[in-house]
Amino acid sequence: MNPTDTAYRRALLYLNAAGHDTCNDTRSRLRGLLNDGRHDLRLAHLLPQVQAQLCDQQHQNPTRPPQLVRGKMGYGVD
Amino acid sequence: MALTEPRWHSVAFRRRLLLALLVLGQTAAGVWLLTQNVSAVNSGWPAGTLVGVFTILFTWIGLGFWTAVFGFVMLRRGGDPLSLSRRFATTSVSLPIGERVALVMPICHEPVQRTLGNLNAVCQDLDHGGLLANFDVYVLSDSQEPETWLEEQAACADMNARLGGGRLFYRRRRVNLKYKSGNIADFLRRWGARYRYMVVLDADSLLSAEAIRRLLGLMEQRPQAGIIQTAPRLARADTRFARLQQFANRCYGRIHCAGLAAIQLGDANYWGHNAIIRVAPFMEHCGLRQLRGWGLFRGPVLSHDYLESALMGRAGYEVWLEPSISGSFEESPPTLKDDLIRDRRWCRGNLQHLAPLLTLSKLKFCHRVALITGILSYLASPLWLVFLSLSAYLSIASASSGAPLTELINASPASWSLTESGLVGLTITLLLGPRILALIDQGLAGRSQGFGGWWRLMANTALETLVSILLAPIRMIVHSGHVAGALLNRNLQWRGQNRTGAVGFAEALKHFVWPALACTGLLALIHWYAPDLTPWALPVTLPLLMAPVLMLWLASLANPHWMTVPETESPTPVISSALSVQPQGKRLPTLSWFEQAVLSPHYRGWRHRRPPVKNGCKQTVLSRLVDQCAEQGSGALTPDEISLLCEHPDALASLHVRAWHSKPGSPWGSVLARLDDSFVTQRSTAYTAANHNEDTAWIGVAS
Repeated sequence: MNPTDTAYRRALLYLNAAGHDTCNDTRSRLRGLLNDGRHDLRLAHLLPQVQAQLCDQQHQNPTRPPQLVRGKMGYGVD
Repeated sequence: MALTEPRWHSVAFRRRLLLALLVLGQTAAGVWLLTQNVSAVNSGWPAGTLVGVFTILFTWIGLGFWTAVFGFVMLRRGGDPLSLSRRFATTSVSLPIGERVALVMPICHEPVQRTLGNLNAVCQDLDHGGLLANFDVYVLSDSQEPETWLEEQAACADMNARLGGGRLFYRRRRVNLKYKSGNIADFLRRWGARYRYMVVLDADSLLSAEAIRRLLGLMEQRPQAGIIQTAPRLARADTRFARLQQFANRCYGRIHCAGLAAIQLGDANYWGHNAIIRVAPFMEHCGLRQLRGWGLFRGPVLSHDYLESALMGRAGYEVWLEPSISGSFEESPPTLKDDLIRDRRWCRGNLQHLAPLLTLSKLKFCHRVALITGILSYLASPLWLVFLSLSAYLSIASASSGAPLTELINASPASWSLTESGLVGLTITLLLGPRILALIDQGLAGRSQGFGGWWRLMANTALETLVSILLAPIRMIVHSGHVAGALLNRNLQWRGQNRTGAVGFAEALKHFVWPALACTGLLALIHWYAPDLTPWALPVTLPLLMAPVLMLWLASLANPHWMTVPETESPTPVISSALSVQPQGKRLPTLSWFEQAVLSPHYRGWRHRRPPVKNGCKQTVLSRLVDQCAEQGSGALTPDEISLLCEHPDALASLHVRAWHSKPGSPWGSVLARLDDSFVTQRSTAYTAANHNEDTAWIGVAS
């Protein structure tokens, strides 16, 4: 695995952008995943999966606006 | 002793009658003194007009003086026994179980971190006071620039997470119908029926939990109250200008507010923020129609607050000003320029009130007077200009006819008559009297220590008075321009205020170049025709000539202990909290907010979801925008297109994937390279907030 490889660097940057630690252990595991011939694990698959996972984590506590209770503004009598 | 209706109404009537008699008596005396001088020299329409204008102006300044006297007397008596705060002293709040209160902050292109820092401070104080669980907090944005509203959105998300999540809501209107009042009305139409009370904040507002608790308590105990307004003190002043305003507000505002509250009682005015509103009657009676006249009197109402309180009063509800509720703050514009820009909007809004004043029926007399005083507060400037011009004209006319006028504006104080001395003395008393009364009040109340001691309080008052005298002619000229611009219906752009200062000399010069040139010409003219009058013209013309320098000096940062007020040495917790700004929302360094929205893996995690657009021309437009932006970068889209893209999570998700797969050297590839570089430089610091362990979920998913 070439450390200047675009997929590797992008994946690393993506993890950085997501706020993950990118220590040596993480890097070596990332290289392992990208070199693993058993999975067709390219950047096109990896990033959306990470992103989807992050979204799922966030959605465990979603902030929904209160339910709408339609009302109207009155203008008094004139 | 019950606070029965006839009691406060009858007391209010007696107080207002006394005020009217005092103002009219003092005005009559002033007019008599003036006519003794004018009629001796001049007659005809200029002299008649001069007396007419003098009458209005003298009434105007007399109103301010006697209001201050009322406030002084009330404070010396230990406060107004009829005020709600004195009557209902309890601080306990017992809202029905499950009932919530809305805390709303309408914003429009404000400095995001500072504004939401203020809101964060209010929420933290509510949290510490055990009240936050009862509140739903709404940030109602009218911002249109995507870089602003994306920052607002991100900062609100961070803030919501810090507050425990769930009770802070961000809503942005895409169509800014009716400006701020329309923004509040939009909120009320959607969610207003859920709430009994609504606390309204401005972008620069700070309200302590104790103040909010007090407002809620008073509302609960006084069902007739539709609005209860606090008297905000100025805080967080950094520049010299803001510090002077803060000192004046803190030192003299106390007696003015006390006087105003004593005269208005239950017919007070809403000031637009730092107040609590009973939602149901507000929704039922306080909608504001667009004006249907012509020119200035057509379109949305710009100054909504006075009208809303008048409508609330018309509906039979009370509006109270409660200056004794502490813990209510707002900020001053940081520079003279910003103050004058804000005045332009207020001027236009107040002059618009002429239309509802003439067309709305059944408004209370007190509210009508308040609308008139609001209009006069800006009309006073052109009237003063007219007064000075007529005085100069009459003087020059007398001088050119061979009789140098020493009678009207006497160039030789040695020859002043008793009536002239009386007129000058009366005018000075009316102008400076409130300041002197305020000083006496602060001294008698033992509050001078908060202002740095008695001598410092005196010295600061003298300095503030001097600056006010210098600023008065500048304001007169600029406000006259505002009035003329409003009457000619010149276009006015509605933008957020600058709340952080910073003015360059070129900008200051540009702002005042025309008034300064006109002033130079006027001075030359006076000196040519009536050299005796030149010294009398200098107090008005010199400040205008030195306006750019004065503006620059006032815009610079002040020493922390300059113009000390009590909050300088011991800031209240809510101010301290606001000073340690927290909101942020920036996760990826060196990126614009749009670039962050596109590239952040987290962004769509907290983005409010809209149903996906599956077909139709909107989908076509979105697809085209995604293609265009993916290929040419963020600079290829207009702000409106960026807003449209960011409002549709699916389109943004598509762009997110394409941006992350862009080739090195392409527009998005360059952005990624920039991001990478910033991480490299930051890697040694602790940017990555939470160090996720090696069992992080993404590894599991990827495997």
